[in-house]
Amino acid sequence: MRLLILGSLFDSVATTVAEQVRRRHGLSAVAHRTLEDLAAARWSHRIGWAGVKTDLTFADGSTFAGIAPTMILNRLDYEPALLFTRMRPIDRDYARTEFFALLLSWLSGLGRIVVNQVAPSGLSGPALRPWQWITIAREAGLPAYPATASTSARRTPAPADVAPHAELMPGAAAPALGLLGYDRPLAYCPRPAGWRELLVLEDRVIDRTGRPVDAALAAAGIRLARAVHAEILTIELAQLDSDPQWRFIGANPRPAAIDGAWHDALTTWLEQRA
Amino acid sequence: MILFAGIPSEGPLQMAIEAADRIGLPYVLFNQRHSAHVDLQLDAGDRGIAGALWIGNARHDLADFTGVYARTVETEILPEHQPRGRAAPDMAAFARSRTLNELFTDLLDAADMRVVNRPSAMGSNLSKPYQAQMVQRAGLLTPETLVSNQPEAVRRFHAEQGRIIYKSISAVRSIVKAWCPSTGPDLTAITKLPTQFQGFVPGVNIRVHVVGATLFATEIVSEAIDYRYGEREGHDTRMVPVDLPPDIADACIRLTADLGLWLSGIDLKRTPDGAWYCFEVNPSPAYSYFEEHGGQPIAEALVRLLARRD
Repeated sequence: MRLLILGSLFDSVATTVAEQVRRRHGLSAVAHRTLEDLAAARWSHRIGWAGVKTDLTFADGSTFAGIAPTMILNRLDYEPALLFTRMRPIDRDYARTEFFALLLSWLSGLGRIVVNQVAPSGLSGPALRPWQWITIAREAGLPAYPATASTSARRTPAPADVAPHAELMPGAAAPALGLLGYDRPLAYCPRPAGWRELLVLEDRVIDRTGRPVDAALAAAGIRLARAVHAEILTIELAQLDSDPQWRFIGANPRPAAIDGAWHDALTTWLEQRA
Repeated sequence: MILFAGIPSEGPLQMAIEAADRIGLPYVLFNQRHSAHVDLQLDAGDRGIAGALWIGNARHDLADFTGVYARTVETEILPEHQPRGRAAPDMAAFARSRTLNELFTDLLDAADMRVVNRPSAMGSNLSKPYQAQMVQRAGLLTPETLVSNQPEAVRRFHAEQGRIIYKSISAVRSIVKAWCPSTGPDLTAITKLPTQFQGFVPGVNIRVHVVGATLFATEIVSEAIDYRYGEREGHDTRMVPVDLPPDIADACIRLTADLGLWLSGIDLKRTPDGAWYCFEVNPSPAYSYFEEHGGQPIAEALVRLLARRD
């Protein structure tokens, strides 16, 4: 197994996986390259009748061909502020946009060894907005947790005993909106009675606490992951009071932490997948 | 009923509204410049995404709309939110308008209706070489492309191709220009940032607009390397409707559908020896320019598509 991890050196998921793989397969089984490494590399990326071919040489002299990964754990998070800092501001913005476009093409051309596959919305998988997730999850068989977002509290007053749901309308937190008084944007949902998180690894579904996952729920989670072309996906679910059905709250192809029952599962799956 | 969204004086949107009027198709207009008088509500529930749109005090259930044609712009550039003399913009109004715009963008991606086009489907345009890979999978040829920050790699590419051009990798608009060792420009600049070069493809520019399963092809007669800037270089430009070979037409329709689009503007070139190359798929094409000069009924096809529930 030769694992290439793409992502920050401060990414706890990446470092945890790297540590485990090195322990099991030796130090040379893992290479780790950051966004800054990619930006500083020498690139020759060809697309044409012969397909896609890229020669990539890092600043330390190592090459992508030399690393020869059998699996790439893609944890790239595009942080443009880290890149091209010596350019003039106007050139810098252009450079950051251009470099993202290059990464999108390069990662796409690498094919199935990259997990998660790149998407235009996110380098390490689909970084969809909450309403997009709700729609796709429902189509996959995960009913939506009820919620409302409105630009006007006057037209859509919030019922009593609801919780704010800021993710559905991030802009509603803007301080300037306080000047609108009562008639301001809002987003809310009923207070959840229960909560759980699942990790989908291709065709496996693991509850974060190790709780069993019933077959129908697991199948729906797998369908959601496939619908967005993600092989690694965490799913947040909640229950309404007096209703045992698990309802979809959100999903993330690039979870910030992998712990508990997920800890070994991810590394084991990567080893089997490689 | 159709929902139009954007600035109604903008060419493509204006033309679509006029087409709907001419045919007698009912519609509602969300004029972004009137955002202060527009409200939007989205509800997530067992029946999917539902909600309502208020234009003034007129409430419209989202379920009443068969399709949306959206040409919305960023809130920041709306004239209503620019400084007026010494008076700063109204920050509350700006924040509200931006919140509305963001929620409307969410609607475009989540709504159970025909959306031209969903913002999430337009992402392939962020990277020309990324999109080129999708174009190839649909069965169309793409120019030989090199993205590099290595001057020597570019020189080898030029030697291999004979004639090359360079352009932006991303969706940032750039003027396509030729490069050769004798006239440059100097390649030192590319060591700071990878640049996209392509083998020059000689031939006739053909612009294709796909509207669902309907296709309009226009031959662009111009001597300029980049016909969009032909007049600037002293070249005349003429638009002539043409028919495509069936396999090319099918590939264009298939590619548009593969990208999740209902409307696309596809840039093709037909070489002297009859090969067809695809340069780009534009997910938000300014088709009005081509309809004005070529006379094809693209707007009518678009609004008929939006009015259908199938």
